[in-house]
Amino acid sequence: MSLRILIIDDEMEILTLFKDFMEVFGHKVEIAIDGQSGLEKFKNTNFDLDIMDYRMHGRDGIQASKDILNIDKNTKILFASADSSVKKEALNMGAVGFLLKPFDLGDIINSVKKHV
Amino acid sequence: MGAQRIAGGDFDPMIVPQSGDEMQTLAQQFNTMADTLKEHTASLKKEIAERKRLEDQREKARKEAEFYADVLAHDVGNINQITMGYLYLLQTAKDEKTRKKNVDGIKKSIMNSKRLAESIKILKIIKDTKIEKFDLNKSIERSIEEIKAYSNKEIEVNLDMDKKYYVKANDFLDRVFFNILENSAEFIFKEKVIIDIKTEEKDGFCNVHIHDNGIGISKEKKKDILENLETLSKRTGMGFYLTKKILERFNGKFEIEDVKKGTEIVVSIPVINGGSVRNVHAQRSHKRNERRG
Repeated sequence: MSLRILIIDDEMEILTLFKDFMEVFGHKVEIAIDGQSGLEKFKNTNFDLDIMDYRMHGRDGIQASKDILNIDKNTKILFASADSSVKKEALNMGAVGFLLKPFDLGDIINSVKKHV
Repeated sequence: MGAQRIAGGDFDPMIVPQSGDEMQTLAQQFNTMADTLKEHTASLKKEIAERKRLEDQREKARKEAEFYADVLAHDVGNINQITMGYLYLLQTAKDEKTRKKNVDGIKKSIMNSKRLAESIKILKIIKDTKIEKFDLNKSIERSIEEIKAYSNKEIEVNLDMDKKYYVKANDFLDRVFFNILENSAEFIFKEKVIIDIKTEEKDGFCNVHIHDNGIGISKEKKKDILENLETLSKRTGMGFYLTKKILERFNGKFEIEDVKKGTEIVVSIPVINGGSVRNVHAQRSHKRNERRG
């Protein structure tokens, strides 16, 4: 099943890696370098899943997720952060899952299958 | 009256009767007491000042440790994630070309890790480094070569240096230019990165204008880089913070210009006069990215 996925992360190489990898599985992937540009992309396109980093300039992942959920409360957000202390907050806020960096790329695909 | 002055913190001798009786003895004892109080108060003040200095030092060290912990969590987290990503892709690679691409990615991650360790070391020692007469033109040229070897993008650099500059700096100046060029290369989504570098002398400084064809820097981020860099670095990494600290050591600075397209960063460094050759126009175009093997 091909999904429309938005990845928001402040590290360009991570964005490129994730995008290239997920496109191999037939998903349509867009990337955003921070919460603000991610939000703009979200407003213009319907995504089946957002993969969200936590530490970013301006809006952090939690704030950006809240903004996205305010627009569409059914949006599925998969959190990906190296900071395990935000896991609880991310899940309470409405994230469908949490990936602790660093993780195998295969874990993303498994999470997508599990949650979408 | 004397007791009132002492109560107010004035301990200088104030009663000097010469009556030769018990009143004089009392007055002398009173003055001795005032002297002792004065010494004691001065010692207390000194102790309080020392404690305050130590507290400030501790607070500074605590904030510094917190800063490093946050920045490291961000930068190491990203480096590890990228390495894990390439390792996964390497394991699943089906052809030699893909294997090489992923091995290169892992090598680059290892270099990033090394660079991060170097950055921390530089931050620690930069204040004590010696400033010398330093060839700015060569520093820029070395940084260009380094970014071309480092980046996996095609990078074209148009170099327009109006003359030979010697500035008050040291080897760490290379790192300033590399960081700025790396930032340009990272935030350009196009296949080809085009960077224009221009120099000019103004008010005893050499201004190096570095302009790229990237996505630009938002007003919000620009404000944070210039006014709130420490907090920003906790979220986005050490690059600009290190750049700022190195330039501060040289009594230099960087600014972000308002441009319609891309990003323009201006690095200003004090010039050492003499040795510069006017009207030498060096214009070079580095068109192909020489990839590191």
